[in-house]
Amino acid sequence: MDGRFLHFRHPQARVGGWKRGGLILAILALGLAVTPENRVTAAPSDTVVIYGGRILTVTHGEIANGSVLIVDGKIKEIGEKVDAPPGAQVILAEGMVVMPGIVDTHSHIGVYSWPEVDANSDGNEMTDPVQAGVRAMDSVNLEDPAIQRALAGGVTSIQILPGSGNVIGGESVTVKLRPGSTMDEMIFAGAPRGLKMALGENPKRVYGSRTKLPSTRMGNIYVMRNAFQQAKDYRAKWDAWEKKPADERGAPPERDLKLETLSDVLAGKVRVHVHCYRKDEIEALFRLSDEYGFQVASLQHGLEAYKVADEVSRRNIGVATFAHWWGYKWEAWDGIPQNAGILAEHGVKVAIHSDSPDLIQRLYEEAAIAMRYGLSREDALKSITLNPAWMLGVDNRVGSLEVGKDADIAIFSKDPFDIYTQVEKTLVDGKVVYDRSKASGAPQAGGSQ
Amino acid sequence: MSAPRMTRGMPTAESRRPAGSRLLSCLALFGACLLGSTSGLRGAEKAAAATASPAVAIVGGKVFPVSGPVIEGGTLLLRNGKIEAVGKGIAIPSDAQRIDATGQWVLPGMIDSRTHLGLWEIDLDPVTRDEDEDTDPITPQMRVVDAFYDETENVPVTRQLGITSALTTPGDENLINGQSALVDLSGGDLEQVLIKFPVAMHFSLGEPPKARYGARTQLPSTRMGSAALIRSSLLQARDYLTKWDAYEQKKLACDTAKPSKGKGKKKDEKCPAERPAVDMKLAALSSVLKGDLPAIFRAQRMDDILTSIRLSEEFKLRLILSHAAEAYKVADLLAAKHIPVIVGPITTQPDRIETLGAIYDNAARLNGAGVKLAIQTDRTNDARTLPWEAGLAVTYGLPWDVALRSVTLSPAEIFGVADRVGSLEPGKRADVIVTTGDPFQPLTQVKHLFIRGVERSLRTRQDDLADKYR
Repeated sequence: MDGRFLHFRHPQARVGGWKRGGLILAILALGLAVTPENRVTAAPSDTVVIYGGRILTVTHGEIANGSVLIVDGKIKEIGEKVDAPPGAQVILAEGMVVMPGIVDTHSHIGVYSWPEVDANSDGNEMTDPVQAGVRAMDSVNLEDPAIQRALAGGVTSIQILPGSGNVIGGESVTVKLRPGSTMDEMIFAGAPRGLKMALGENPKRVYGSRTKLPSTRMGNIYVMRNAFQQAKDYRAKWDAWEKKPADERGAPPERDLKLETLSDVLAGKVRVHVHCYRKDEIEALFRLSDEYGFQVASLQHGLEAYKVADEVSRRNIGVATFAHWWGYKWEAWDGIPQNAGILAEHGVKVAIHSDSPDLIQRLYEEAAIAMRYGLSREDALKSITLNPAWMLGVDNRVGSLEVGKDADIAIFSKDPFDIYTQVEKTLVDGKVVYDRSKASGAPQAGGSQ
Repeated sequence: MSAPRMTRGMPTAESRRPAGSRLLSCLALFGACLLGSTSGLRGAEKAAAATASPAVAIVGGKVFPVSGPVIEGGTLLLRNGKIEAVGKGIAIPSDAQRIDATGQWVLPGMIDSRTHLGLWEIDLDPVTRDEDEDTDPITPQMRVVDAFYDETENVPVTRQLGITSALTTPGDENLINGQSALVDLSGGDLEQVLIKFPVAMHFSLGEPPKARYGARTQLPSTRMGSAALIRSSLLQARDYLTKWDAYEQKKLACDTAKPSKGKGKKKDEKCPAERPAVDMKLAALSSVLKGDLPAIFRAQRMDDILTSIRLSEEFKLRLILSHAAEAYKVADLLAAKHIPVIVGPITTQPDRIETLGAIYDNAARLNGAGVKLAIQTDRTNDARTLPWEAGLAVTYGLPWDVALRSVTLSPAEIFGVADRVGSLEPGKRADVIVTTGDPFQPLTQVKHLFIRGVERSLRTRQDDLADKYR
């Protein structure tokens, strides 16, 4: 929220631009409790009240007509009435729907920046099938225009992944969409590290077309197994060196950035997100992760995960998938729009992901399509908020509207699953980072020319 | 591209092998394709007329004829593949099957104005794709009917969402791509499902052709190269047409002159008329020059749109624009020239150089200027997204009734089949859907779907898979 918007201290500032009459009266009549303490001292400008919307908390049901109090970027109160100090910025949400900011586990924003030209292609280091040492954060173009579009879709946190041209593509980075910030400021502080791995057609096509390993699915798994075996040996070498008394150690083993990342995976310090499609390759992945003892955080795409739903559930692995896209290659031929619904019925935490700067703008619509094919409304809501946050290890911070969580919030004009809905405002850490009424370059009437 | 993510994590699509289309020899249909004007196929109308279907009365629903006002609690009577009556208080014949649509909506089946249904099974596998003869930038002689796979899995998946017919078109990476067909989605064989062929000749401007042929250091590698090659092809076709016209006239003269001259030995040395050689490409283009076949130009950027207008005016083509991401920039011009625009997908992004001007309210602005609109998905595996595309156009300002028209009657008018499909009117084909509500809402379900008066299955292979593993 920029300081020019509604503000108790300067109530006239934006009245001229506000379409409804009686604004000040309305705010005074809101039932915002003004306590004696804060009557005297105006609240700091980072106190924000979202007033009068239908609130979808995700974890504690809906509040038909409630408010959210935000202080210092965190949710301080949430309910039918909140204690708002005078001076708080007020965002009117009457008739609107307030929900957590959308979280996407699968984005290539910045690493495949718009426009899609070779010069902007920075997501796949396809010079070796094992690229555990590269980090997506070093490829992100912070000026990617798709960031603004994602915000216009109510998205607040994303995982930016390397592509799937390699068996091991590199480290991902989880960011908050704070436009105009530096990478350091964008990074979701405290989010766990992530590693992108890929099975199936993509890596075998990339390297097979060069008559190089891997050109088959067994080749894919071999490349992974070999890499993890090396990482295990590498770790053992370092452990042995570290265990020696300081005067007997000698020179340390040579550092290998690839193997460092992979040994961190084996040590449980890095979450593994695996691009996959077919049932058989999902099962091969399970064998591999059992053999080397690492946990898979999420299956990415997982179009045939519904065929092994019980096993995915038993292993407590999330599935981030499309609502309906299918058939674009052989391994997507058995992709079905019921995938998300079936997985959820089997107790799997499901996310609808974008993998696209187009779809990321309408993940709520994608979730509605998953509902059409059997996902419950509750799970559909979770599929774009809490569940992806859980897969990324940030569900203690975002993904639901709860006291103490980050004030990452999307305000919709209508129910998010209504095709005619639009995002009115998006807040990250309590700051308005997208406002439809002011947006320039936004994808709506009067927006861009 | 059927799915945007495909460019992710993959190398750019390898150059495809020449599509192995089952090219029906045009020579076998010599007369038909001499001037490229007829299909060489039995009339689809004949097939449709042969459809004897039992009478069906859909009663009590909210009926959207599209051609007229909404009828609350209306009745729609179908018989022998056609709509027999629509309105309120229509007597229901005793032999009619009765479908209670109380609380439901009754609409014409939707029409997708661009897909590759039947020509394309799996996007990334060239063996399963036949829409794009990528060996020559000028392929007007390519006819989608010669590669139509009528058992495609993509048809039932599309039909499930209430789409009853679709334009199936050649690709867009040649300058002149070939001839499209309008098919219904009943899933029968080509003769049964064909509504019209050929519908249009497909031209393509902008990035796809110049990217393809430029990479082969072949004309065209630029926009001016594209325009020059199209122009020279049309000029050749014009000469060809002139030659054939002269031949036809002379042949007529010779034929009529002979008998009157009797058996005299002195024969006119110019008779018999010498028949020019047949050129399949030029024959196909002739029908566009004659105005028998409209020209659908794929153009995104404003300057490409203007180029398509320039070429069309020079050769008097019946221009229809498609894709048209930046059409809103010349909306008034398009309206003044009565050029229909097939927009879409509505979700076209500013992700390529030629679509940097893409906005979601392109359709709304064109409509505001008075341009006739249709909506295309330009998808095949997920052509089922058509209603959601239309819904998104509404979200961004297109009036709802115009959006409905853009996926029903307007494309029927643009494709010259409004006498048969696109609205609920007596005498038209009974292509009808019954839904639980607004068809553009993702949560709305299609309850019944009729094509040529016969109720069609709404199940797909995907449903079978879901049931197997649920």
